[in-house]
Amino acid sequence: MIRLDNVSYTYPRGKRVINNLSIELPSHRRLAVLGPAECGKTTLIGLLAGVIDPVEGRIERFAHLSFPAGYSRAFRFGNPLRQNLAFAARVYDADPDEVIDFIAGLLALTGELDRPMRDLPIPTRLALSFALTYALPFDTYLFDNIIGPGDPATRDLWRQLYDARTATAGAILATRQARVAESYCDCGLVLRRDAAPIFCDDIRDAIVLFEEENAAAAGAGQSETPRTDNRNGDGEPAVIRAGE
Amino acid sequence: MSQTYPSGPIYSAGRRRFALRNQANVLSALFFREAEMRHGQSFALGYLASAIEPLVIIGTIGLLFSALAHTPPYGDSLWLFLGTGVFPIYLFIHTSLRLRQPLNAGAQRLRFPIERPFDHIAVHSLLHLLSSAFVAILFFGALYYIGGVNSAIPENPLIAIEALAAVLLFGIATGICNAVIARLFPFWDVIWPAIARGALHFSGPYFVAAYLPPDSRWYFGLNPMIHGVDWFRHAFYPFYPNQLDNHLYLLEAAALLLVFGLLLEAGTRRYLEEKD
Repeated sequence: MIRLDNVSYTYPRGKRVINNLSIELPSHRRLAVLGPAECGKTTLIGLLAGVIDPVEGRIERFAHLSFPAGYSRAFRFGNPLRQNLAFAARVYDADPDEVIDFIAGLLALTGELDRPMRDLPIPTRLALSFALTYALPFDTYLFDNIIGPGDPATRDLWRQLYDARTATAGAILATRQARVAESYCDCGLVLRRDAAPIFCDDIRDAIVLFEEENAAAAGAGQSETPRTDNRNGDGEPAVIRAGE
Repeated sequence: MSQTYPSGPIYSAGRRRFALRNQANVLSALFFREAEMRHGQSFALGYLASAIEPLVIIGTIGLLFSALAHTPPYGDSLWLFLGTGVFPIYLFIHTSLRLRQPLNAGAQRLRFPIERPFDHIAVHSLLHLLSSAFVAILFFGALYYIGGVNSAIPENPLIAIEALAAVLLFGIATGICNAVIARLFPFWDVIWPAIARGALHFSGPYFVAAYLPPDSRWYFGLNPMIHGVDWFRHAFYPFYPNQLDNHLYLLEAAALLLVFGLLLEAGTRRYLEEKD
């Protein structure tokens, strides 16, 4: 369980995205965080992960929460890959050898393990940061839109990893796409602009509510400009552009 | 897929143990990584390079005093007297300079969310203490075995450790203040090293504080480090004159700066986030 107590977050020099949010989230279920653009989905994931700290209020985590999947800022690019992975494993209470073997097997890495991170091509680094997320044992995995990098050839791999991990652990996935939420999650939290979020025990209720909200917003003339960066045609949450 | 997934311990032992366990994991992992690499250099080059500075200071002052044919200000060995002054001073100077990285805004973004700034402060302080202690032990050991200075092995090692702990605490407190002030006013990064190294001479590396003229002695006593140096020297010279000593003053200064630094950090955190 994750308890948010009166949490607010304001962007530096910006607007308030999360306002006095008090809610208890399940940490052992597959929770979709649904909401229109700019309603605080990414911010919520960041707050839960601890990447950003709330301006007010507190978050109590009664579970071992992951960093947002694919988090790669903590890598030291001058250090060898093996050292980076071992450090992450130690910090997150896993066995370094197991984690390194798992990732090496998954991505078919051999000689790269002892080279500095910066020698790796960018797609490999991306795959690596996601593989690290799945390699570490967490109680709850946090996802911001993306469950794996977007090479169509490996999409099944990331889906398998997601399913394998969430069979025993929880997940919180922020998304704007109903289809994704439906296929990856079983309960939902609908974030709304200027209103309190609603938790739905069944993902289908959450999707109905989310689509009603969207329709209402569109009817009120606030229709969103279509953004295509997070989808690759058929609704799979699987694209990171190179260089991101 | 037939992969076996790395499995971790199951966190069913309750929240408190969970937190302690996380803390221990982060501190030990950070310690070994930072010890291995510092600014992309290996441990020997990165940390021990900072040991050259006190040795150079000891060497230059020692040569100057030898050339001027001074007798040692206290005791039999000039080198021992200088070493007992310069090493604690440099433990303070280096600690006060090098806690900038843990609280640096850019560096904070390049971490896992589980690593908090104060984990980095703890680990960096410990590494400074270890590397300084290592070099100091080499120096005093060399004086004893090669120089034949019998008093280079402290009569009372416990006092030496107490003194270094107090100096380290004072260094950490100053380092936290400096790190925050340097983010508020970047030119502080240039000013503080100059002040710290210049003030070195007022902390008594080559004179006995208690032998100063009584009317100026009180002003020298305002510098907390002079008490740290005297404290450290007590470990080597059991009868070191202690008219000026006030160990409590050093500890009070450290505690005061620590509280001030932590308040400053907490008070400006949001402002600095917005500023960067």
